[in-house]
Amino acid sequence: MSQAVLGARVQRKEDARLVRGRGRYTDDIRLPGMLYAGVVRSPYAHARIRAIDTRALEKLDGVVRVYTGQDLKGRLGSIPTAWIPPDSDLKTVEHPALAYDKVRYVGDGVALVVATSRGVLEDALEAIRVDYEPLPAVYDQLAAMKQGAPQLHQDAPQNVALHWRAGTDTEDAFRRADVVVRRTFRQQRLIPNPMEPRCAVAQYDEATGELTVWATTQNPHIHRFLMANILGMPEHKLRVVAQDVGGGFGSKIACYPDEVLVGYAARDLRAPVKWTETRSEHFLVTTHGRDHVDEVELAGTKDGRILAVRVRAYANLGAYLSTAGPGVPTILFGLIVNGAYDIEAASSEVYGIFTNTTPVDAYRGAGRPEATYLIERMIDSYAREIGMDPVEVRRRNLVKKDQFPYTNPFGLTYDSGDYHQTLDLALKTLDYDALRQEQAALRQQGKYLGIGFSTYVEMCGLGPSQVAGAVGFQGGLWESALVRVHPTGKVTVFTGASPHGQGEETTFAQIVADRLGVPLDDIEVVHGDTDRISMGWGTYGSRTTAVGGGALALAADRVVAKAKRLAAHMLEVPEAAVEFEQGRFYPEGDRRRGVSLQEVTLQAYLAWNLPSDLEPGLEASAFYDPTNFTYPFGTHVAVVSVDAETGEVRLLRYLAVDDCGPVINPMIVEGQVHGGVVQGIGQALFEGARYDQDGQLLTASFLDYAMPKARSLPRLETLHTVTPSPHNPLGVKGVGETGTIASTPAVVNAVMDALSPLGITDLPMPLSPPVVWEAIQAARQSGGVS
Amino acid sequence: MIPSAFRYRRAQTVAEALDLLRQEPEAKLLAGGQSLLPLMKLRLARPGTLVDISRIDELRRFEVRPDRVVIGAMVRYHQVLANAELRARLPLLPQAVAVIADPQVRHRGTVGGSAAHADPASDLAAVFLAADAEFVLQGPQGERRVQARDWFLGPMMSNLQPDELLCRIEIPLAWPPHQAYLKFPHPASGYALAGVAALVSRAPDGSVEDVKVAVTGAGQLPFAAQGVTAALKGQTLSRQLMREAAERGAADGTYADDGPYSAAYRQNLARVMIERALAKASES
Repeated sequence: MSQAVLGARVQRKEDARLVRGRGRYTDDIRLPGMLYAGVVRSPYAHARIRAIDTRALEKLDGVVRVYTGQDLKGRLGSIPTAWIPPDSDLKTVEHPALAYDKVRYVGDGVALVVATSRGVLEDALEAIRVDYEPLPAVYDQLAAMKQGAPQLHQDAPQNVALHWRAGTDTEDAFRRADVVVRRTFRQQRLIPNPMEPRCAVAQYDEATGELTVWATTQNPHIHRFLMANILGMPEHKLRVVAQDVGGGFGSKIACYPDEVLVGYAARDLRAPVKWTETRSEHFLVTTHGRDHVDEVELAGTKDGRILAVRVRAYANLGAYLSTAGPGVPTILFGLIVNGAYDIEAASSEVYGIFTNTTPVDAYRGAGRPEATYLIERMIDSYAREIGMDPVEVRRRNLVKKDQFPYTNPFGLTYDSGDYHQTLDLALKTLDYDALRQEQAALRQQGKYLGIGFSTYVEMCGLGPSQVAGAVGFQGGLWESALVRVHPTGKVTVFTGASPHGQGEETTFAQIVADRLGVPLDDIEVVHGDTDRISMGWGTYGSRTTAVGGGALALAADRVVAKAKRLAAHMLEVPEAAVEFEQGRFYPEGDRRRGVSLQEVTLQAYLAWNLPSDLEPGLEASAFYDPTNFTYPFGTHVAVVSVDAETGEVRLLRYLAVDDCGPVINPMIVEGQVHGGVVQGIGQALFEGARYDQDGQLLTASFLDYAMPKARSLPRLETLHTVTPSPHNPLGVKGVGETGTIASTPAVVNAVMDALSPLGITDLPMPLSPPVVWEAIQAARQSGGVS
Repeated sequence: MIPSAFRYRRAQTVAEALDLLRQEPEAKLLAGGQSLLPLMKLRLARPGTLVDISRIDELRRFEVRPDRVVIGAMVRYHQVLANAELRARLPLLPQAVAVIADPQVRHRGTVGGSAAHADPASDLAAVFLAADAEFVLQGPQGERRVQARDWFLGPMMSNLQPDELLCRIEIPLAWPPHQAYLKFPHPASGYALAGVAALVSRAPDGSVEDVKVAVTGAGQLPFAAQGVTAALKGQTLSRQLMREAAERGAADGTYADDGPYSAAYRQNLARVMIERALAKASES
């Protein structure tokens, strides 16, 4: 049993309900007397609120209450950020749940309406008249930093929210370099779109003074922590529950005004209140991702040795600081811009900038895709500059197997790896030489085939709490687990992580089944409820299995340790002479006698005959704080063809070779890689928010915002190598974000490789048909080879 | 996502539907609802009354006759796809229907609803124009017939008057099965950035007896690419000739910049897709 369960392609336990429509999402909650809340949102990107006229509501039956920003001023705390990078001069500007003087982006809330039905609510939202005085707006971070640009916040001159630096001196390396490559990259703004938009339901119990908030969150305990403060209520009287959550990709980390408002209204009105985001609202107000302008310089020798890399990044943070917003373009980006390469000198300088746009926060990968994009694109640019195969440049600069643990120029210690092995496996699988020959032959026929690589490393498994503190994250990053064996031998597992689609109800059950030797079906994984789980930090940063799973393994081992003492007592042998295998305890070397964990458990609860120093019951908890991040890595390869007549990029092959340590469930890992890769392809080829000069979002629905679709994707090939992390109990590294981190540059590198005969070196993402076609036209007109 | 309040009336006959259209304030006909209902939920459309015509038997006629196919306004896309005879006689139509939206939409959406909605990027617009569809309307003054070339008056504006009902669409079965519909979908919406319907008939010597091409999505309005007919009629097809014909055909459209898609890109896309549709139709 135990050999079989870890590493087995076990079907996801949660799917039995999810694929049959039996999941229980927040919006499925119906409470007696429940009211419906909606937010009146600014149609302007920047405006002063002159007056709010709600008189029209008097004629509408079923409107219960309207709150304006002025009504709530002083009654609710500011929505805080939870990440204050050290030495960054971060301007922690006020973020009221409802704007009371000025709106700062399209979608900024100005009033909350509560009504008896959704129909009445939507009529009421339309009927409210807000008198705005429009102000000049700025949506672009570079424009926002200029003299005379519209100012968003009084306390942030020139809209600079933060200025942060890290790394080593690079001057010497640049002086010694044969070649210096300079590029400016724009990493466009993305709009995360989980299947389920956000939702919150709140209910106040007058008898106990307890407020329960059901919310679509990736981290209910962080929500409780922040909301208790904002709402001004004791933390133990606030319960936050994340039922089934239909995906988040980072966009459900943040504490938003909406759930705070719902909690406030439920307490104030003494009635349950629900708010459900529409998809149109989601595009406008749920946090966006990426949005960088990056100036990058790489110094190298002419024989392919990289000496230094330095980056200056301008990160658009949107109108307010979101929960993790300031940490994403600094800590999660600037400390790993050397990527998987052994580069002696590297530095990062980051400006975080306020603009009249939706706040920006974590989006799958959060900072690490941005960093990886830069270094992987620079490797290819450098390779082209010195006339070397980009594979060879990678081979010469990747950190070598015998260099681990490897400390990068920013002080991060990469835990373990064999980067060259993933590259070799990818080349062999592709038959790289044959592919290059095919490319050459096609070029003779005027056809454009491209091969692009990305040999990435990621820092994840967030993370050691001491480091979290040192980098300004306003929380710990350890994780909790409780393993409770019930008297009959059935098991409930409580985790402080909060999976919302990643499949840990299954992988966590596999971990426990392996440790305890009990059947998978006898294990229930409970998560996402601050009343059932003492504390936890949630699911993001590919931390759930590495940290939450680590806590679980430790807790399960403690259960076994206690059971073993009782088993020794029952078997009448010394504890040291008890062996535990596949759910049974045996006297050493004697398989004829033995007691099952189930039998031991029953005795633990009956407590008729326990050793004198043993307490009844059988459960154990663990609070596991990792000593380091984990560093999954791998080689991704995209093979593309470019249709020069339409500009369309077609993916012919996509190969992902990943090393995330031991694989607990190959099917789930493949699913994570598939989804991640597709999201990264989305950035490379399809997705991108666009604003007009007034700060209006032009890509505000699926009519204009292109998500990747099945018809545009090839069959994804996935392979693995296994290099355990040396520092966590399971050796696992995390795989939730690797695909997204690796695939964007692999695809863009492939397209640039395809277009290299035309002399095209870089194009702005997304590489949509008109972008590619216009570049080809321009190249041909300027006399490039066709 | 909740429409503003509206009245709902169900008509049992065409006459009743016309009466309701006249009597009810700001009345709008409801067929498959795949375009109208989303607009209402976004409150971009606010009809006072919805007149449901889905139960009117006359509008559900669907016949493939020797000389023409008659498609009642309430015939749903999936019915078109399921019709084997149509696949043999007018393959262009099911080819186009197969790439409309997704299976859910194809099971609710109707041919007549699409025609009346007159989206300038609808796939069927190219088919109607290329195959000389005829729209049969009923109004207070009785029956009126409109040719496809007179149907698309503007974006989301057909020749249908507010007091009229589109009863059926008749498409002549005048072409051999050398037909193709090719679509380059918008990466976000899936609507045609360029959708091209092409019909080719060959003389016994292999030369082009006649050819008709129409383009949807690329231009400001769907259009018949008459330049193709002029360039190819009587000629023997070659790649070079098809390329030139596509160039002339694309020039029949009027194009405008739209976000990332410049007018030049759209015209180019129309040209490329015409050329490819011609090649596919002539090979079929």
